[in-house]
Amino acid sequence: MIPNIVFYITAFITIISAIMVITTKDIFRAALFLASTFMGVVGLFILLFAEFLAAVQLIIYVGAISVVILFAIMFTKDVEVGNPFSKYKIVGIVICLILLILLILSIANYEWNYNFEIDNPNILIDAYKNSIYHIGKTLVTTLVVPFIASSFVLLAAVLGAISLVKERES
Amino acid sequence: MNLESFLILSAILFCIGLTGVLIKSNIIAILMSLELMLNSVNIAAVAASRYVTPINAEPAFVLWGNFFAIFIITIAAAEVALGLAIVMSLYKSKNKIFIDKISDLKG
Repeated sequence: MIPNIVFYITAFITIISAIMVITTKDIFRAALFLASTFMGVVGLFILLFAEFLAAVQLIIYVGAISVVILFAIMFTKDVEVGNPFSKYKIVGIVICLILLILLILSIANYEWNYNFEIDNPNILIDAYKNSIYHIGKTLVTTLVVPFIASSFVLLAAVLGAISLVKERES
Repeated sequence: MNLESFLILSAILFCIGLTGVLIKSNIIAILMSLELMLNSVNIAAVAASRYVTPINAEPAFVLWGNFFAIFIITIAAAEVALGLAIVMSLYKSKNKIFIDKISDLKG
């Protein structure tokens, strides 16, 4: 009962903040609503028993990405010109509404196999009680190649960002 | 609170983000809408692995959606760093950030 109420409140806050991100005139306030959306997603991760992912989301999205976007907005001086729509407003909204209706119909009409009907729930209990242990162990054994590859992606992103914003000597 | 409600929430967030990408004209607003879309994909992956799991799986496979979300967050961090660097260098050289006005490749 109580998780249902918490879920509906969190989902309401997340969706309202996401709508405000794309409808607010002031782009600075849109970035603040984006941080609020990320906080709602943190609540949803906690409801899904993904505590490690909630902490990662809080540190990286709310703590880093929102602040970087706010800095970029303050460096570009057209803040009060803001956040206008482009000339494809009607077409974009119609396409996205059709896509949303199709997605909701296909989700609601599929028969999902829920996993609390399986015989032995001990695996689930172990996986969610020791989730950080299992995540850390799997990241350095089974998934070690994508783990190292993502570290190279981050290194390339940092080097590319530095070389893009560097002052050119002429 | 079941799998369908999480997936429908994720679909709504994805469509809001896609609307923002299609109808906004500020580049930073488009990057923000992209972040919304990546977040909705994270919610869908984690909810699917929370509610639907292969029978007799190992504990690591029960948490498979979390690994998807971790790698998506890594790529999103790299993407926002590079995207904002491109926006800054574009703003320094051309002094504009609206995509209606950036038409240098048009010839």
